[in-house]
Amino acid sequence: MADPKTKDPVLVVVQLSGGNDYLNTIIPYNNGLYQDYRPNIGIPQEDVIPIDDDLGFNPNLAPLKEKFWDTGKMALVHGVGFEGCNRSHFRSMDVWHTAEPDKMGTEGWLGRAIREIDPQAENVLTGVSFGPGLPRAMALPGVPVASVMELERYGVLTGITPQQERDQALEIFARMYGPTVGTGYVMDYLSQTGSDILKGADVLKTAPAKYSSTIEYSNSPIGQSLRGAAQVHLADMGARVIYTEVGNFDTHANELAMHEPLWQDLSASLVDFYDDLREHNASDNVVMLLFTEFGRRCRDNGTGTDHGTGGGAIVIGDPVKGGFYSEYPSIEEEKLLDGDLQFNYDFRGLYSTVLESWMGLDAKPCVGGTFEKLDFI
Amino acid sequence: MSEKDIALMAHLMRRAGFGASREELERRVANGYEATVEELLNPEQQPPWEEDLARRHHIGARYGNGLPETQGWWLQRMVSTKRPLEEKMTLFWHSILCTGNAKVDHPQTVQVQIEMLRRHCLGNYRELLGDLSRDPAMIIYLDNRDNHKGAINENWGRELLELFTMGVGNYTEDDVKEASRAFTGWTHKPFPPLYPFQRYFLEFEYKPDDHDDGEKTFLGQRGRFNGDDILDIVVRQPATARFIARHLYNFFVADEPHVPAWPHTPPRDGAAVNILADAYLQSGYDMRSVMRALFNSDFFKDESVHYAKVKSPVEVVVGTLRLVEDYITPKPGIDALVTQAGYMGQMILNPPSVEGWHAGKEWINSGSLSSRVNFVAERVGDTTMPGVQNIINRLATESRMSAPDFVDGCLELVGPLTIGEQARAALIAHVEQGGPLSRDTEEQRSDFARRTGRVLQLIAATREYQFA
Amino acid sequence: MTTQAKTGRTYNYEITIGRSSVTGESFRTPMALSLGRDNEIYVLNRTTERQVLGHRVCRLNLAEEFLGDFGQRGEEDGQFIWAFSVACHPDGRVFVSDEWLNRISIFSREGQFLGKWGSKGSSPGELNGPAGMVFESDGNLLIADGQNHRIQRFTAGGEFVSTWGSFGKGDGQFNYPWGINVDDAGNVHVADWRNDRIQKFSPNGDFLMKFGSSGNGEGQFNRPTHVAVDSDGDIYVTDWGNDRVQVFDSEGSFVDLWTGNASLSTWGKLQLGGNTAFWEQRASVPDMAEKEKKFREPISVQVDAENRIMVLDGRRDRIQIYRKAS
Repeated sequence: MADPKTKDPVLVVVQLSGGNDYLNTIIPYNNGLYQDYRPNIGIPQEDVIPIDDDLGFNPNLAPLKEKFWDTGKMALVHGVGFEGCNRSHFRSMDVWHTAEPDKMGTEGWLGRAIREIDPQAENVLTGVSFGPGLPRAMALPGVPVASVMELERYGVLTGITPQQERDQALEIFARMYGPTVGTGYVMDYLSQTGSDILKGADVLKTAPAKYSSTIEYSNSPIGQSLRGAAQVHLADMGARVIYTEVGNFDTHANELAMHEPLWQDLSASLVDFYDDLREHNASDNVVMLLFTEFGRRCRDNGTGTDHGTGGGAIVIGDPVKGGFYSEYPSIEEEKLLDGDLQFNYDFRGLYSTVLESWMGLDAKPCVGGTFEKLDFI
Repeated sequence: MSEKDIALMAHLMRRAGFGASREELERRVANGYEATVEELLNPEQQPPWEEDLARRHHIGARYGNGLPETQGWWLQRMVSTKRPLEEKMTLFWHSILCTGNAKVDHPQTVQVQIEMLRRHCLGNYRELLGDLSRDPAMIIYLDNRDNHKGAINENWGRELLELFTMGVGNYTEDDVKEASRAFTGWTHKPFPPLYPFQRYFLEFEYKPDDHDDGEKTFLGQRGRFNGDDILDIVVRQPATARFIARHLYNFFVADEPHVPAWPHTPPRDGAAVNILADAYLQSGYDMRSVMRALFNSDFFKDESVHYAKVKSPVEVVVGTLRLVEDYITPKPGIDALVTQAGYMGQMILNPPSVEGWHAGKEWINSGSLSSRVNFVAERVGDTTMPGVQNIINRLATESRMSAPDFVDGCLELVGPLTIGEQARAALIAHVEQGGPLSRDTEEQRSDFARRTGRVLQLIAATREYQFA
Repeated sequence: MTTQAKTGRTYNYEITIGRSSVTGESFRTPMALSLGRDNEIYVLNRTTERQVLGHRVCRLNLAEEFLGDFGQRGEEDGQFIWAFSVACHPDGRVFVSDEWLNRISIFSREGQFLGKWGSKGSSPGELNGPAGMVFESDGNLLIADGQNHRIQRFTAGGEFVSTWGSFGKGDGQFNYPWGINVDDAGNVHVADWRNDRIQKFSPNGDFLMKFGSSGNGEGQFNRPTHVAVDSDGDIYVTDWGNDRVQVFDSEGSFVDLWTGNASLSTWGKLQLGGNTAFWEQRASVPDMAEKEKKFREPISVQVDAENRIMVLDGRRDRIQIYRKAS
């Protein structure tokens, strides 16, 4: 195995959109209150995959348990949240993305991290996001991030042939998107974006050709995003923060039927991703962070659960020290906050741990303060 | 007819519709600005969309069994309608009162919702809210079917207040619960499975037995409120007037920050929002009156708000197809065009969440910008398209043969669009590099057409073209 | 079920054949059906653009046996973009019109591609949006030339024979004609789709009669798509936009109106199979049986030699079959 010290640390973020129900993911299966709260959507005790006497995995996470938990590469961070969660997807996701629970933030925490890694924006591929739009977490003016649907399709004026004419057109494009003075914030942002595309396209399009693998990923969007992430990582183009998204975890209704395929596919895709990197001897410098905007209410509402506050996060990878971190929130009635799991660990501490202990960055400018770190790295 | 009049009319048509050709702009300017506004505000006076022909060719798409054909159906309508404001308003409501098929999983029911939004698009907002509360797609999307007497599901109650009427900060958590109670028992009837004979329309059902008929306190008022009482109360709130007014400003006038910032950030033009909010309250929530006030206002006409919005992906796709006059009559391939808008970040009938799309500057990132540029470039470069041929012919008729004249002509005919001096210089240099323009021989005419297409492609790639 | 029409005719509902799927023993958004030899039925499906394999002709028989299928989406030989109608030649060959490619494709009885003809245009013998088709007893093919708003007669080999009609509302004029059929006397009936009426012509194209107007009352139509005539001269019309079938006598007087009597088909039962969730969902619908009966955009109708009336129930992906009691 290559010495991780010679490789730059890489962070792969997986956003679980919609508010994953942590209580039905990591389950207090021996606590009678759990079944009391969830007469309709509780996972039967015998189906839960026990971890210890208190907690167990949702059976749909079985591949993760086997591959990562049993080998000590999976940290479960309980009770993550923030003060003053108003249970709105929009707001909560903004808070997670900007690390600003107290005011409206506009800068993404990963955007800031990318700026810390590459202050001169020398590599436009330091941050790569897979999906139809750039997540706010990656957005920061002046920080280039490649937002990719398909690696091969990346670039502008791809339809102009022959190549000589396209090259001419791209020269004109470069001139048109050149720096200008005093044309406004959005115009400047467009200039920056256009110029970054030109730089990034030339590099990104080479990734699929360099790639070969025995792993067959799921055809789902997250399976394909993680496959793209593997291609980018293995092509060695200096990508340090890779972002993917999976959803929809907003299980107000039919939670059991919705959760099952989501977690089955996500678990399989994460295992595929890891196996792919491993096959190429490239897993030792990658850490995966799974987060969601909030947890869900303790009591079910029939077939689902409403928006809650405290949730949980999962960190996976060779460098990770597996185990439980922070405290699993009590589900005793009087310990709940308005019927929700009471959060007990500020998410900015989780970010700080990843940024400092793994990425080797100063977390303070990225998360706006100093927060208690954990020791899962 | 001054270039200024044309520019103002072009602004109106970009906002109240999906853009217009030079010929259409000239016709409308001759007709007058206010007359055009009235025409737009009264879509029923224009020929209806030829829905029967669309049904004949896109067989089964109107109430599709799958999402792509249902999306394609609406896209086809936006491209070929003679009532542009009707579709633009419907898109406006869909962007705010949104429902995503990813959760509803019943495309024809989502399509029925769009038809409902269209029916009310310039009508009374209270009536729209009444039908929205009874809309089966919405009942599924925001889980009101799981909102029961004694066991509330507050998803609909919360979003009604937070996103559809008043906005955060104007109500309490108790108001959310009480509103939710008032909507208990509002559900849909059971419906058959997809197999073996395809889907059936969903129907609203009110279940009195499941309705919490008790007394409620909502926004300081007490009563045994039912859902309609809640709507009566929220629709008349000044907060609702301001919230809807700001949405209208954001969608039709100039980009505002995102909704969550509104409680903390003053509007870009507070006076304008006040004018719209007043029109809303004074007209008794009549959207036609509000839109009349908007389009005829000085703040709308002001040059500072021309091109002050980043085009949404749907505006890019529909506007381009209308510009080149493609898909004006039904044609295969419309379903795939929906995916193109998706690559740019906007899948109609499937917004990412109940908050809708993050618009404005957030439409732009490296991936979406490439998709936008490539989509438009591919189409405006196709000189067989009737709309492109019109541009070529017009340039020829006006003999815009010097390089600067030629470039300016192209900019006028796709806009009129003003681009930065640096970009204009680059285009002129490009044309000069290709040698003098001429149309004397067949070969020269074909070269003229090809070079027009190329300059249009490069204009589509400019930063300025990304704005509406 | 038995319906007793006002005029003394009796119709018995017999069976529903079909179910919804893109491939296999099923239909998806079917456009037309045609009766072949030996009680075989050909059903043409268009489906949606992304369902490439669903653009096919299904071959089956009245015993609910699925005998195979052919065709897919595309522009190659034997493929379709906007397939519109299917017609069986007396010798068993199968003809399919495509209103986008403006061509007629020819297949063997088993579906082997044999040839094609047709070109786009408005001159006699050219096509613009070929819609419904039917073979005459002598083997000539009548085509409702949709966007040329006329009827054209060709030999099976594609040689132009004759034409009549033009765009308009007058007698003998058309507005997007759709389905076309001949009666035992060789007279031609056309579903004059956008004029919301049926027109009847002599074999040489002389106008004989018309009936129908826009609306949803008895005898009125909302975009009728197809027409068929039984051995007594009674006329059946798929009143597409009104989700019903109407019956008229040979003079065009209203006789009866059907909203459908479908039941769960054999293929449908197989599809539901052991999926308890589907069965439970069906059981939860109080008026399930009534709902299931109804036509939804019936699109094509044919009558066989035994006066069985076969209605292609367009958006329900099935055929409802009725029999007229003699």
